[in-house]
Amino acid sequence: MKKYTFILLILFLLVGCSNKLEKYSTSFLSFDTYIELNAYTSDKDEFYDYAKYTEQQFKKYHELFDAYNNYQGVNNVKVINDNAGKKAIKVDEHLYEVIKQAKELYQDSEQKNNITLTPIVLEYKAVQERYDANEKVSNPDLEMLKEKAKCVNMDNIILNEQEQSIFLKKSCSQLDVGSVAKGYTTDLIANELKDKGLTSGIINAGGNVVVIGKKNNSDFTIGIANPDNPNEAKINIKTSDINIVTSGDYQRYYIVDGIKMNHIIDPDTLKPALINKSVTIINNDGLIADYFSTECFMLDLEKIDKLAQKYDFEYIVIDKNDKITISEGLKDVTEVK
Amino acid sequence: MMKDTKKIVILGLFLALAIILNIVENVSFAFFVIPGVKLGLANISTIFILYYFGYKEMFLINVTRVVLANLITGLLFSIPFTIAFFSSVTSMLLLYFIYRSNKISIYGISMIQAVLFNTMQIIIVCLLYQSNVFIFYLPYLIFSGIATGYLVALSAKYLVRLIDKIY
Amino acid sequence: MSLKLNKYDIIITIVVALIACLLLFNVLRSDNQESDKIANVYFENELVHSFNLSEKKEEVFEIEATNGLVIIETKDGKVRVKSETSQKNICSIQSWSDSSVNPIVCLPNNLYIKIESVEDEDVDVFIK
Repeated sequence: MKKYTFILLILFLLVGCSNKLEKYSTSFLSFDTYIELNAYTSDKDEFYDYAKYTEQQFKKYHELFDAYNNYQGVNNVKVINDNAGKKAIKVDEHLYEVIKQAKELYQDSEQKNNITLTPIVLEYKAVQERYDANEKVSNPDLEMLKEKAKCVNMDNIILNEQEQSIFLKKSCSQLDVGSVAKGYTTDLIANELKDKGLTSGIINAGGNVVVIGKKNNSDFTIGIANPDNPNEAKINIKTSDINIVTSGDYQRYYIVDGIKMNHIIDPDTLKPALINKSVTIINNDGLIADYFSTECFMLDLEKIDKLAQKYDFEYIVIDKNDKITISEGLKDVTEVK
Repeated sequence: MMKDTKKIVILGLFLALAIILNIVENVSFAFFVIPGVKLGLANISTIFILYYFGYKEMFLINVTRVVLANLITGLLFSIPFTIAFFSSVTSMLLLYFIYRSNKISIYGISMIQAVLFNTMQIIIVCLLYQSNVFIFYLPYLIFSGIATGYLVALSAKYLVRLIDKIY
Repeated sequence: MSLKLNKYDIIITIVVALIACLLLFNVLRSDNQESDKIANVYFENELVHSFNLSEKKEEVFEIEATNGLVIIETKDGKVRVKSETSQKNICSIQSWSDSSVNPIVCLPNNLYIKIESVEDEDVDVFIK
């Protein structure tokens, strides 16, 4: 009867209203940071699968890229470091890839992001931890650092493509892939999720962000913190399907003589780079975005722009005087608050 | 059969009535929480025309009313206009099937028109703002639609008697 | 179309009214559960406490975390870490939050506070 068709029509239209993807969110501590996955899926079960998988994978790659802990059966960075000067270690393709790319990028860029700088970085980290514990601190002794710097050299890394192995030539060499691993991992996991069927979502792993797809046909909005007031968003970017990595001076640091000593050390001065407060790199490749967010943090605008042209990435730089510079390709989609 | 001039006169009169009711309604019922969602008093005119002349005339006058009323109040192509326009058209299209069955009286038709219009308003607001949160208002708008529907039918019926007496 | 009320009118009115009631029931049910803003406290990735921020009351929660005692409080619909032992006050520096894009993270203490809310924030993710 016509009456019933009309009622059915109404119900059908009402259902049509709610046929959108729903937003689900999960978070956990892993990879030494706070990780959040926001995804738009058709139902909760689908999201749960993605969430479980994400957590699993971050744990797996955390163990693989860990430079300070051993895990049974995993030839990770710590194993490579422990065998420095002794023997080559066969590693997982992902670890090999990360170290290989870190070395290649180093050779072709400004050579500021050095993954063998570990002994120096650890000295500053120790000071920061004492500072966190409310102890009185002073900067590490420069002469002592120069001595340790003798172990710092990217040429110490010997790659064997056929064996897929890494050998550290000098026994005092130490690797830490922290400045590239998170970007590589978040990008990798995002791609794995896409293969599994995820069409729309964001992963935020402590400043390494991957945007997957779009949010119900419109762009996602990413907020960058104000270095002087990290609780508020200073810059908003509208984008989709991309990697965004930010390096900043406001999370891990200590203060001596009124100067904020951040955790990004310049291999040439053996001191923290004080040129910029925050650098954000945007690129299709997570490892590249991560690598350059660290490298560009230590560079002036001219050099950053040159690298941006060469490697085709976009950037947002907030320098030590709070001057904000946005690359050409981002100007239309960025809003400064 | 009514002579053509008389038809044009009455249609014109009721178009004007509809526009006035529309505008007055905009001004006085501003307490409704969602911008652009209306009560539908102008339907007194719409239902009258549906009874007195037929479906085609009602459709035409209604659409014209929405456009003119919004044109006069400066809301043409704004959000309230978009909502009113698409709600009118879709609710009238759906109404066609009910109208044709010929089993329901003016009360039923008016009520269904009001409910359909209100429902379409919510659906369109949902689509426009890309959010389902407005579904919350739907039950209340359906109930108010039932009530206004009957009131509108009553008024339309009174007007029918009035026009019949005059002519 | 007749001018007199008949039984079909009544039938269809009742049907429409029933549909409205059904909707009302569904809407009321889902509305109560999901519209509150909740602050969830996780220790070692397990949920240990929930604050209902929408109730806007003052509440205190203490937990013995990895490095010592951590005290969390709510006031006026916001949450913050009031104090923690040993470390630099990484958490308490982050101060009050009432936003789902701004969680409070205390890595050394293996603790974080995540705010769940149905409101739309103006950013989808916040890089700190």
